[in-house]
Amino acid sequence: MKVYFKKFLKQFLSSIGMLEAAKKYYQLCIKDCNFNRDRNKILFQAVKNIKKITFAKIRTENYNVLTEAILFKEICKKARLLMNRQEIFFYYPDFFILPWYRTPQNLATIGNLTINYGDVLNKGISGLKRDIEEITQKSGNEIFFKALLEVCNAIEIYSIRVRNFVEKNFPDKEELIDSLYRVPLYPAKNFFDALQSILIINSLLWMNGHPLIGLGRLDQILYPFYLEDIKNGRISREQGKMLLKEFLRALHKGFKYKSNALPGDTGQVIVLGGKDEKGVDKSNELTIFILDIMKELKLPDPKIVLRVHQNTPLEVWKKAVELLSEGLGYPLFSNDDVLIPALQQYGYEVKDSYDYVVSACWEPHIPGVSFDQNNVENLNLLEPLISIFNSGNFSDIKSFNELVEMYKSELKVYTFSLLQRIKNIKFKPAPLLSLLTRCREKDISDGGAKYNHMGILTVGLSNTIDSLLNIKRWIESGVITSINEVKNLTDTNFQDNLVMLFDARTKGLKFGDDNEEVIAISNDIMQTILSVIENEINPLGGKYKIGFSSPAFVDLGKSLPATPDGRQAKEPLGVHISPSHGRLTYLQLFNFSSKLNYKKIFNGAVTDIIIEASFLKKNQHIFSELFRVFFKLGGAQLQCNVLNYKHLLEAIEHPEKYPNLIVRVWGFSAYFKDLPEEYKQLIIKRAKQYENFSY
Amino acid sequence: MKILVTNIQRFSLNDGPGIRTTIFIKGCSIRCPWCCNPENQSPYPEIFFNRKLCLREKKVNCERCLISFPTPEDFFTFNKEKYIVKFNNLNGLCPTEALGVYGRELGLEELITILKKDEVYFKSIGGGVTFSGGEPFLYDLSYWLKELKKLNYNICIETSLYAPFENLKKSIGLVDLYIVDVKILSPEKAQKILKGDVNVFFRNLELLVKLCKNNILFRFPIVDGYTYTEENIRLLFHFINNFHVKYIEIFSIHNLAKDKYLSLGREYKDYPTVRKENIEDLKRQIEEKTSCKVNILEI
Repeated sequence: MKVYFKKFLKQFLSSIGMLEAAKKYYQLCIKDCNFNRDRNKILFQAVKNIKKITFAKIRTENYNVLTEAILFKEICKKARLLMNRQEIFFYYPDFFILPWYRTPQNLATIGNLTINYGDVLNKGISGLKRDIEEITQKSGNEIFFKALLEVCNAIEIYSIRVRNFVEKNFPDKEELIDSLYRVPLYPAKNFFDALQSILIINSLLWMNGHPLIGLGRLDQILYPFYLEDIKNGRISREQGKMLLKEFLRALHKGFKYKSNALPGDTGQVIVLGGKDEKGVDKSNELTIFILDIMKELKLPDPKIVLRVHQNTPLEVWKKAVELLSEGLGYPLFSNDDVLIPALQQYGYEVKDSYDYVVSACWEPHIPGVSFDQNNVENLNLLEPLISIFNSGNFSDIKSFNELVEMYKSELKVYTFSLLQRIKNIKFKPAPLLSLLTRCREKDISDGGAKYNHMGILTVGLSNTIDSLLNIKRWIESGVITSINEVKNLTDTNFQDNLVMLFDARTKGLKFGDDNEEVIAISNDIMQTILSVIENEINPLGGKYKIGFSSPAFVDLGKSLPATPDGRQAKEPLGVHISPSHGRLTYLQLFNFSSKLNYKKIFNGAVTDIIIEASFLKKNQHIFSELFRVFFKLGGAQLQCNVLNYKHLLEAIEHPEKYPNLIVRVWGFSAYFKDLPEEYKQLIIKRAKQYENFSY
Repeated sequence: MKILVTNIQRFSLNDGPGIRTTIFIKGCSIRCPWCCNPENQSPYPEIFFNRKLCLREKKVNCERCLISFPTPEDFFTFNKEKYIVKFNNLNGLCPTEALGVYGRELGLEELITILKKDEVYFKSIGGGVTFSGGEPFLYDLSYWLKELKKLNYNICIETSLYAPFENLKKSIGLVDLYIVDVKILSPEKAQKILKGDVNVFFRNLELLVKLCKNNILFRFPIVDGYTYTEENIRLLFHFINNFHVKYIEIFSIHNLAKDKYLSLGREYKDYPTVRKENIEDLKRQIEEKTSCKVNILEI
């Protein structure tokens, strides 16, 4: 009955073109309920929110890229405008504007990439329009040409609406009004323009429903405008910093609605620092400003990724570790010296590789020219192991090596079938993104971007390695005589043999240890996946990438039975590059991680650690030196959760005492109180694992 | 030569400059009542049993240790020497590490292998190897120290200086930093409480001060009723003046060793922590009355 009603409702909504709107509205109400899935709460919220809704309604006959452009124009016409008197910039992403149109089912929305704000600032939308008239018109793709023009016109409509709104309501905001006469239509003339222009484009991306869009290398993009203003005395350094602070504060707006799958998961990544082709460090005054401001604001969002390399100035390191010590979960460090060569070897142009940014977590791509959907599917490394156990085909396995070989061939089959699944994904046309990622001949959903790669997330590597190492140890020491016994342990969820459960968790070598054998088997297994995907071409003409990370460690764990690493059924899987079990010092983990082979495996190469807050505060200098050595040794990326174990326990008991406690989840920062219970518990468990690191 | 150690701790930040690998040597010449490494006192391997971690306490039918021993309760009453052979088999047996052995033999070669893993951190950040304990100078470490020096390791030794003069003498010129704990300074009290002859301490210290006074770091643990008494503080001032101490680190002892005492079948006594204001006051007094700088360590 329920299923039938659901189906009927879907059909009905679809027939009146309201399905998309209903879906979006449902999501918004879930977010309003703090991602709580309680039906009644959501329904209550839905009633409450009704007055916020605006519809962007268009007629659709032949759905194509132009449809999306027309819809966007409608959004620009209808979006609500709001501003507070104390605000310096205009920024109001209206999340409650709902699309009322007909769209084919099951199209994936493109997001999780970084657009080219530099183009907008330097050329203005009018400049982009000229490019289109020159290139797109000649390319003969008439519909796409019309779509891009519509998008430009739409932005113009929105800009004029905003300007009129401010002129009418806040006539005294002269600087803002002056700026709104220029941006985003025309090139930014000064620092204020640049910031305002980014904010408007940013809000349009949100309103058009593209999630997790990164902000790019803001210290690089904004610096020329800042410098010019300083040089000609238009603003002082303090004023510059103040504007930047207001800008960053504005970007925090809509934190809840911007969050994608969990509160905090917004994808608003600002990438700072980095080196150029000559190896010269690119950090500047704005790099330091942004690090300082985020330290003052103490907000979980936007968040910082700092590109580091061997010539990153000590001053930047110092500021970065100071910010890290605040316990906001960022900056995340990404090592140019490892990633840039990896990107080049993969096939990105040399010039582009030096401009890399990261997706919502840390997966590299090139801003403004990449379609790169770096998170299309999860590859769970435990699945092949479990399917070996389930198949019962292991009875004739004589040695550990045979088991590893069997696992590897099963892994290849599994990876291949995953690719087939990915090949069926169809993407929704996205003319606004096309405009901002230099797609000039076809839409970004058609492979119009310069780079069209797709990234696969991996999860469960640490559990798999620990499982294999346990089985080896058990066989060698005679604790077990056949793999069947291991199957019995996992089939019964270790219920009948808790001794083996603890043995599995605490004994022997573990993933993350700087032991040759552990390193070799970890690399071997990742290379096995690589061998399957390396020469495959995706439907948009790009390639596939893999890495060492995935946000799915909680969700995918829920449906998995117990595994020989001592993980019981439903428990979370290991987190990125970090030990699932056992206690290792940072040095062991760093030695291990820096020996992983990132050459072709870099779609998330992040080592994930927890540092006790006061320990870090006391030893900031040592940690900054330690990180530098880690990256010199070949570490690729580093995420640190700076926590106090006792505070976490207290925050569970008395959430009211810690309303602003921020922790790091996946690749974002979030308020601890907002997180689902299983995430809270996992963080506490991991904090305990690292508690004794504070010697 | 092999050395009996209880623990090799990589990434130590409190045992000398930089990042250090600390070797905890088993065997001590004195018995500080507040000792937070009780497993390092006896020079022999010792069985430990941490009841809280034992699976049988959780009603799990674990019988791994019963292969060698009738019941866990008997561990402490066993004739230890007789069972020493079995000790090595004990480690790695207990799934929760409730039961195990403190003390395993460490050779120089193995030590170097372990140090090598972190060499790059020592070189870039500073740091090296620290011998702690227990009392490292119960061993003649000179050969080890020479070999480690050949490999350019920075070497620290944490010592009470209640140790054979010869062993200390042979180390001169090979140690980058002696971290000397100044404890109870009155001869009678030292004998009574620490079970040590304070004259040994002074004789050794004179040697160090004469031959390498720039390589000494003094530390003073603050323990109410033991080192933190009117008499001992007065003696501390004398000490600072007599030996022209220019810098001293003071710290309050922590009560973290309870489980270790209990797991060794020993009694545990809680020590009241000296209040923060009093520690700061002590710092002020020392700095006012002597020319010695004081740093309060938070350990």
